[in-house]
Amino acid sequence: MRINDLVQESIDSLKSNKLRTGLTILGIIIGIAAVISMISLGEGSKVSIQKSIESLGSNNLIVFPGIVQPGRGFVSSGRGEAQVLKKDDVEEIKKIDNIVAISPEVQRRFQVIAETGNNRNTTILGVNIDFFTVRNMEIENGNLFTDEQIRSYSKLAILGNQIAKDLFGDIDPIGKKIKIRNLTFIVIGVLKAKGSTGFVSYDDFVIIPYTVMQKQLAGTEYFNSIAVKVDSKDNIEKVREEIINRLTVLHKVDEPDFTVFSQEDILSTLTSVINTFTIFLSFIAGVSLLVGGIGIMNMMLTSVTERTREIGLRKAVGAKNQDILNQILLESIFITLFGGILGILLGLLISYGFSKFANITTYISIKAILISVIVSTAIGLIFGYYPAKRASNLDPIIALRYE
Amino acid sequence: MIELQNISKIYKNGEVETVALKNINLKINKGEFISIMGPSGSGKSTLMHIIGLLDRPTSGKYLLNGQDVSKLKDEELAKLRNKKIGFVFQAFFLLPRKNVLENVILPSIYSDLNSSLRKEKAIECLKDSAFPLDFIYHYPNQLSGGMMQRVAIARALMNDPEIILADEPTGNLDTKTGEIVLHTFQKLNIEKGITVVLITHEEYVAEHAEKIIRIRDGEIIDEEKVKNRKILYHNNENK
Repeated sequence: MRINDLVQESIDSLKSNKLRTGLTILGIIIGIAAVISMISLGEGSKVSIQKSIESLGSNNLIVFPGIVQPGRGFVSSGRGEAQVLKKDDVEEIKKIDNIVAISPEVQRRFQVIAETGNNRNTTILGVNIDFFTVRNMEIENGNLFTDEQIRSYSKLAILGNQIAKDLFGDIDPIGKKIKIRNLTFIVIGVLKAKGSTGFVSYDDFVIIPYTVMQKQLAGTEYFNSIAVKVDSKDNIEKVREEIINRLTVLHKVDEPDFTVFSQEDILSTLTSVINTFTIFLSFIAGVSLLVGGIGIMNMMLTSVTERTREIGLRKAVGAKNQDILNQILLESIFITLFGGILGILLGLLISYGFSKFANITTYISIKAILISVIVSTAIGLIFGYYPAKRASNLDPIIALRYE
Repeated sequence: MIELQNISKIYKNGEVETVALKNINLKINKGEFISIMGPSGSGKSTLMHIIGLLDRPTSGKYLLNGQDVSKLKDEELAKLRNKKIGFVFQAFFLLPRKNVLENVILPSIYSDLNSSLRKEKAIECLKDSAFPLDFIYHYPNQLSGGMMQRVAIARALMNDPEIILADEPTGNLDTKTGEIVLHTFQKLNIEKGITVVLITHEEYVAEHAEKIIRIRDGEIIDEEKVKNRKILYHNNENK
């Protein structure tokens, strides 16, 4: 039997019951569209997390006090409770080669009151001047601290973009006063907006010299973390090991009582969370695809039963079992192929809708599209095979007698 | 051309064995027009299925043009049915969603006939079966029974068969349209030399053949020449 005859016969019989064919195709469209949009959602979040983490500065290592238990990940570390990182540690890390900048950070939440009378409870971050290099922070308006100002306990503040608006509205905050815990600070700068980075938003932070933070606000000599910028990606592991060795000796402990994260660690933790989430969503979408596949099988079985006599006649006039098998199989492949293509288009539309109206980043990879096409065709093959086999094995005599 | 040697067909249904055909010996020569007659349940349909290669005998030998076909694979049987045998059924079995022309063309899509030649060939076959050509784009449900049977005959002719097997072809038709069908068979038999095997339970229909084979309880009980053959087609009709 010629291919074009086969295609013609398959399309003819699909056309003979347009409503049923259409509904079955709809099942596949929904399944594929669900898979495509869920994957694009997952891929999109991965891409956006990656971007925002990279925007925090690249080639960074961050030293946290305390130990992260293996397998429990970054989030449940309970960091900040242990107090081990001091100025000595910063000096020790400075001795290591290949380091561009070191930013020790102290972080507390306090009430901030502006001259205007507005107040906010927000995170106050005590930093040195390297902070801006390590964290990729740029000033939008005003100035950064100088080393001298930090050393001399100057009560100066730089505001995150959002907190500046919250406290001062349209007024230019430069030179204005804010009060944190009865201490008065003068605003000297406002940072450029960075947006949420997935787990912190510096736009809400008030940044002050760490010296003031430690002595006058927090009353501590410890840091919450020390961020280190390494000169190149290749040296990150070397520097990480060096930090671990040196600080372990400095702290006079057998096992490190601190943890060094690289950005890759954080990224991979978040990525693995997103992956789980994506797999979960895709699984649910996959279930609808499976239901669509069962719909095909159901339709093909009904249509084969309805066409019992036709199949008998085709065999009597010379159709081979293989011809019948091919025709039925091709019918179900057409359904899935057609449904697959429309499903991809609908999926693209849905992901576009997500990013347009819900402001969620979506990313459509060629991989996702290819997988959907292959999966939907495979579904046609798998769920069409049983009905096709049944049709091709029909005994022509019994088929012709079928009422 | 058709030679059945000791053909038996036994259906097994669990423990119960039903003998449909018992030691059938039959020879049909090329160009013959024979009727197979018998009451219902006599095994004549089973015999037709075996002759038509839709079924295999349980034992015995079936020689078609000298070739033993009783042991052939499904695929080879399908090929032989396609090329050598044209079926005409009592219930016509036209495909309802195909028009007359497409129904006639059907056997040729399984025979690799060049698609550009199909329409021409189909029209020729429709002419041979006396089908009015104004109706070739009609659908089966728009046709009368007699016309449907003529479409079915044209379909049977599509691949230039050597044998036409007609199973009660007039069973659903009135006498007049039935005679048109029988006339067509006689014409095809004489003009094209096609062997015709007609299965019927009506004496009147059977008498249009040259020879009647009577079958009862799975056995051939009588084989006789028709003495007063009913002749509807006269050789000089077209001249």
